[in-house]
Amino acid sequence: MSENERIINSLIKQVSKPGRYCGGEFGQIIKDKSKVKARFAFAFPDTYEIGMSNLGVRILYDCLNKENDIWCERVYAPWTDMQEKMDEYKVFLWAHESKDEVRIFDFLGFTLQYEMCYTNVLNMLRLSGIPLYAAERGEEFPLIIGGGPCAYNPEPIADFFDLFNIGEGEEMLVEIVRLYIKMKAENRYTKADFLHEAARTIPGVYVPSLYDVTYNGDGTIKSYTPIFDDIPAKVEKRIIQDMDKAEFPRRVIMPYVEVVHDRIMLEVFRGCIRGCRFCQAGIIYRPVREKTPDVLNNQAKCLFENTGYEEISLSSLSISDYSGLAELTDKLLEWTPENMVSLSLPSLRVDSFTKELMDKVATVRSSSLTFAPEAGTQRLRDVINKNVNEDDLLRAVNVAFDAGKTQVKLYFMQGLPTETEEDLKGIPALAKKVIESFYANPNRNRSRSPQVTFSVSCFIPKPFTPFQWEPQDSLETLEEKQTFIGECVNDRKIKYQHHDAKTCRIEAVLAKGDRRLSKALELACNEGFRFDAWSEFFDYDKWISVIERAGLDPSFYANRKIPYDEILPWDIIDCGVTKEFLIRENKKAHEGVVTPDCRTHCSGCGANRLGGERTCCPKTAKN
Amino acid sequence: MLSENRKELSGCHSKFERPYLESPEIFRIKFTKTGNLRYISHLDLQRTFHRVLVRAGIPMWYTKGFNPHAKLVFALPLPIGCESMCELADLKTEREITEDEIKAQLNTQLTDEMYILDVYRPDTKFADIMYAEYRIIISSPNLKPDTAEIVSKLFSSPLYMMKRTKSEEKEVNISDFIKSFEAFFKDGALEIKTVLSAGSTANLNPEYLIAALKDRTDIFGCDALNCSYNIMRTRFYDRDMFEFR
Repeated sequence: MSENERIINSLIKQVSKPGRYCGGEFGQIIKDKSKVKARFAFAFPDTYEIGMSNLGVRILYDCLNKENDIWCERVYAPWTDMQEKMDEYKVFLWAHESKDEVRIFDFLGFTLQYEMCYTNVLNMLRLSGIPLYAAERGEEFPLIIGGGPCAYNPEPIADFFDLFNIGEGEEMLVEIVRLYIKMKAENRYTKADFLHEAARTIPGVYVPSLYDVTYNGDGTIKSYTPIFDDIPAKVEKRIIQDMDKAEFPRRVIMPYVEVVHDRIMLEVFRGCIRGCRFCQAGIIYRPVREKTPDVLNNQAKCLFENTGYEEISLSSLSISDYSGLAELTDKLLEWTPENMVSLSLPSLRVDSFTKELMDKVATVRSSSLTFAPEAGTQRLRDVINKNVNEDDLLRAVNVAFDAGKTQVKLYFMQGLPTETEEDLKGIPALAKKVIESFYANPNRNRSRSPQVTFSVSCFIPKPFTPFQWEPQDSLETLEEKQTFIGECVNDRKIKYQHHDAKTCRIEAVLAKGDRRLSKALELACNEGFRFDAWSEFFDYDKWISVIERAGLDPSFYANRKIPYDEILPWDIIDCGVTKEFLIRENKKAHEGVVTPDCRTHCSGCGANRLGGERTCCPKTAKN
Repeated sequence: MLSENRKELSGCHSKFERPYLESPEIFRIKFTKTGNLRYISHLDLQRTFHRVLVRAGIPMWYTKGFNPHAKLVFALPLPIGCESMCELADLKTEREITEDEIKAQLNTQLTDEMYILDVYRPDTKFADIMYAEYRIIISSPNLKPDTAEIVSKLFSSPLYMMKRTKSEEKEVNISDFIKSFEAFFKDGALEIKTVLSAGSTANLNPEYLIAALKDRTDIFGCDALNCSYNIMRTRFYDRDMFEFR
């Protein structure tokens, strides 16, 4: 046992939930560190329980470890009690498998799943004894790299990172580490040379320090200039062309402690055919690329045998849009019942929810079903291009009520562009109609009374959406609307929940921010911010204070209507979908005109030029 | 396809190829829980063991009813932080399988920190466990030649401590729970071999001994990083101090 391991063991004994830190899971990869050429610490900037639930981390862990000379280990954010012990005993953050300090690794990669984890990223650098700013890190420190959905606007954290992966990392990440190993072997590695060569030769690599940003007097961006003329002016995202051939982890790490998603996650396809105008995931993962039912069925069997999990969750953005759903579920049901395995679908669209589908999925265990109408009136649902109507919802809930279900959960958003009082009243009114249709259903479960829970989050304008130019409502307005909706509820069978508007405002600032926000994040880190995605740690006033002390105005980022011709911080990234398409969609939103889904009609978003197998794009780059 | 995958994985047959038994059989497994896994709680172990049984293709008997689950009963929870070389659990099978097959198949799905030592048909009940033997190894810069003697003396006389039970916390003489106690030096560390009451009637978590040493001796001092201790459960006994199998 190494000295570090012995010390960490003595800390593990002193904290809550020691199972988070101990490692030793079946399926974890242990390699001989003297025989590998690069060590990669893959960090999820939140707790073990959340990080272990992330499919992307599992995929990339597997991709890197398939390479014999690369050892990828995991890192999670230690809980606050552990952080205090680490500070007290001067122990640096360690990697989960070897318990070696991450600061001795070659790479420290962060997956950036949500903006509110940024303070955890910086705090984990601090706990590792690694300087925050890339410019302040010498050759002795690991290369700090980032990826995931938030890397599509990496600018607020750009100064802290050496390199970002834009797009799907399965191939790119290995290429990056390979280049590092090659340059080291050829004795021509320096951090600066490596970053330049990676930016020059590996598609999807964005090295923020190689781009100069200038600003206009009003704080808007004047220009982005590459400092070398052999690196791309815009970084195009990478995609996996054929999802059937994409790496998928056969050997799964089996956590002992209960994690958030403790089940098989079967990734059915990437992308989404819908194009809801507030949704970033629906744009940045385009084009849609499906796996075939046979491949998925075999992968599911393999995962079952390697995990022993009793539930398979078909996971994708809008699973009922999978063109092979009936065939896949039929194939799965040939072997899952005798193995006591149930199926679940995480997201259901009301327009595709049928009795046949419900009978196939695991609904025995839960008596509740969740749908997301997103807006309270048809007019606003057309504005956001949700493409579902009230009849669809009422038909779907009746399928559930026919089957004896009594609980329905509905998700909505408030603060959407063009929203009126009618739209807000429509939210509880829709909940009420669901209750009414329960009582009108002759097959309903008569032994229990119905319960409709509706949850309302605040609209957050996100980069690469048709609503990226839209202002968020002011905090006061968001909170007034929350209260107003609550006042419209007058039925005890209807339960109302809402998100914290203050968190939503800071999230908007971070989502659409530019490089100048790094100053605010540095202040936040120095002042002990962490776990800001956890309501018990989030402090709005402190956030406003650090943003203002960085010389910035939160309203500039969150509440400003941006003109179409303004240079956006994320214009440096090319996600495949064109700005022209997003402008078209923004205009159509204000006209209340819907856009059909990709399978019905191609709307020319531009993502087809990235290629892809089994897309629904009429013309891909390949043909 | 299922069985092909599994053969590739563990060299064993699909459980569905095994003939049904006339009535379910019970097997006892003896396994280790050491190293990192000492921090895994009993509840987490119970939950994850079911998945090990599924992966290993053990033809478990499932409870009949609305929410079928495999029948698996553990002897005695191991306190968090303790290692063990003698954990026991009973499992119920519904198809033909031998002791050796169970051991081999389970071990393909376990690690060197938790693996099966033995599989056999039990002729005892877990309720008959009365004592457990522990080995405690203590490293500290504060150990002195007479430490072993001081420690032995401490636990051979009445020793009152606050002890938590399910419902309350009260002061008890923990010496009443100590069946035997030995302390000696080995390889520069203090080693304690002790048999403590275990089971549902009387039970003492060995951490109480550590708490007593922290409270009433200077072994652990204040230098927490340079002191360490390790507790290993080594054996179970019945009321007559015969080893429990």
